[in-house]
Amino acid sequence: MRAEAPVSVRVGLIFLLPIIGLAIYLDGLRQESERLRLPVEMRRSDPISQTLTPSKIPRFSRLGKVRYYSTDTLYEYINGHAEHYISAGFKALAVSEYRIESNANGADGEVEQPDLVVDLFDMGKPLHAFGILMDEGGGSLKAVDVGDMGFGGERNLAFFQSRFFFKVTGFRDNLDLISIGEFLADLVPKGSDDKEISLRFPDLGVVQSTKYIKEDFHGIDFMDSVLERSYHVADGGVVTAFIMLSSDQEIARVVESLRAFHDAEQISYGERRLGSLGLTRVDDPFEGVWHYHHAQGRLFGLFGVLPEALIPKLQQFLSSSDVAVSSSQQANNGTHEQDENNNPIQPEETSPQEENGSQPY
Amino acid sequence: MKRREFLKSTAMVTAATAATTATTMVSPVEAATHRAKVRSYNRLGSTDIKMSDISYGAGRLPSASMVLRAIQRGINYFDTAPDYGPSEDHIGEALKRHGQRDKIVIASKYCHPISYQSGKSHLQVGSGVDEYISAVENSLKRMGTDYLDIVFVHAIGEKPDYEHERDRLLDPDMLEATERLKEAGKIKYLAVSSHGPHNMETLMLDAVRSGKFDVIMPAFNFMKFPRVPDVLKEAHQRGVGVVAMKTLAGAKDGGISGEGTFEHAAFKWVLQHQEVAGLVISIKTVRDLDLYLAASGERFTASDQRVLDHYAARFGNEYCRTGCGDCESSCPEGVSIASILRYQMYFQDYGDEKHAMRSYAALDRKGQAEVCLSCQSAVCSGSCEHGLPLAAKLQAAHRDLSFSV
Repeated sequence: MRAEAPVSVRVGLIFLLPIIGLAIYLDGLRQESERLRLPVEMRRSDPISQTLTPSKIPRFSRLGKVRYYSTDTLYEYINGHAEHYISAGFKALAVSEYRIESNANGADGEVEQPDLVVDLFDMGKPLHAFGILMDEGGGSLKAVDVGDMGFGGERNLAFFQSRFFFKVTGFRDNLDLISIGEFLADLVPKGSDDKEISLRFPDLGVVQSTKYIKEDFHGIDFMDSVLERSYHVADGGVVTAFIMLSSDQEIARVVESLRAFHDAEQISYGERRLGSLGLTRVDDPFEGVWHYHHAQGRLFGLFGVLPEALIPKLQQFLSSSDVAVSSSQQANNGTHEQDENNNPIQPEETSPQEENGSQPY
Repeated sequence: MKRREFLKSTAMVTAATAATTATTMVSPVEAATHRAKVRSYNRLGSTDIKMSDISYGAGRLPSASMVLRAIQRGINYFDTAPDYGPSEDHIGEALKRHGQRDKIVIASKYCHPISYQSGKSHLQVGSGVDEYISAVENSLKRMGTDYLDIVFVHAIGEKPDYEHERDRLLDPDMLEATERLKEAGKIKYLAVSSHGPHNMETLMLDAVRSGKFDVIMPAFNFMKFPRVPDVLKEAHQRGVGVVAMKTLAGAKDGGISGEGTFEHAAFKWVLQHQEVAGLVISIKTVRDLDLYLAASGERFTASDQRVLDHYAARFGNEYCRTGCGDCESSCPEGVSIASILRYQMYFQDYGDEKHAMRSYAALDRKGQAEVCLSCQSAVCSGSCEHGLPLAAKLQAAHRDLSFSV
């Protein structure tokens, strides 16, 4: 015969029931609250979406309705490029078209063409928006002081503010896209996701490009969230530095995985001293010779042959305990205007290919 | 560091790794996939190309080193495009290092990097001869080579207007540009690709019968496109080469794949068709290389069929095939049937409820399935050639995907 639970237990359980019910109710409210906040997707009724796709910009009125695209439909707007955006963290897109208010209306039945198109990409995180800007900016566009960072030309402007990446395209000359961009950037509400991007790179030469790689850096699936910068150094050479920032534990785990990967792929590596600093040199037949250093929650890597004159700068950078500087400070430092004179020289351990000036493979 | 210390440290690391590996259970698939290589090359129609049966879709190419790794594993065919982000630049860097251009097949597309002006990249009818030529020359410049093996008219069938797509397929300006580029030695072959969703098989047949195309690349897998084998047969008879894409039937995007057995079965199913010279797979990581190349040169077996049958049984009459679109026009209310069923799959089968509900919420109100709850006509029923009970599924989807307190 089964023993009955004591009365006190049964009474206790009865009193627990409303508490359990309340917990379920509150959890449901939290989920609803999260859903309504929808931090990374836009809906027509979303206040943020409405704010960032205004019906009027100074001198401009919006043409028609805003068009929205999700990860499923983005390809309809940008075709095969959609995959790149989605890999980079894309969440949603709102497209608005504007016409200059002073522009005469088209003839009856004529479809009005926009004078300005604003693509507002919600990239989910400021770092993702920065990454896409680095991919889409540059080229003939020059750095401009719009939003957190931007690039602009006569008819194009690309910038990011918080997690949003803006592309502004003008279809007329002399549209003052900078003012338009500043107006749009000011619309972005300041919130808790407004963290500045850490862009602490060494000063190694003329910056060729800066990129953010969200995942699978160089095809390695345990290397995510990597910032990469390429430089022109002396004699036309190019070196590329990368940085991963995370907790000490996570960086240690990545380093361990990297060693295991190199062992499995039969890629040789070994320790090398740079003054008091220890680097790991990797002789990778696919990447060439590269080096990495890890400390204080940072994994730093360098692809390419670094001229000897730049080694002190690298040492200073790696020895520094100041891991990060903000994106706005980096932009204001004019990193695209640097110039150096360096003399190439052999590193401590050389391979025959390097002595001949060619790549290791 | 002294050599002895270096060897000692390397030996210690190797020993530690070996010890770790020894204590880890390695499945037969894992054992077979590590550092797998291409084992089969097939002639591509009447061209002089012998392509690796498993080839590289460079839509998400992360680096030049991945191209070099792939080459080392025996892959010799790379499918890229100007609007695949930095893909062409990475290939160019790899070609510079590799140095053996004649051993590699590069296929790119008649398009530009995403255009600020038009927002579109694929060249449309009316682009003009010079623009087609300029698109290829820009690709050559980015990749640092003086010729493309194949240039594609890309993604035909993306618009529902068949006549419009046919005009793009056989654009006289495109054909003239192609002739000029061939004469100049800048391209060798002309091809066309399509993953629908509109009129794919018809347009592929148009391409094959036109006599203008050397290669076609249709979407083709074990789950859908039942008319594609007819296209393959005619292509083979006319000496037109066939490369297949979308061979995983959307399973990769849906998060189903990753174990190896399913992918290998899906690839082998496609490759058992003699007309298909190779398939292009989106490869992003070293792990992808390991996983996919293990299927190279392998025969399709009864065991593979069972794997696919199991998948089809599980998802066959529940799974809305990506890009099918047969049902889309059946609803007079404009409900986005295909999209809703896909979100329901994320919700139910993959447990990705948040993503599913967000996606559903992002749909236009008219596209959502709320109207299905009170629909009396259910005209969508029977419109799905794969037998999905659409009305019931849409009603269930709306209840699952919309939050109500």
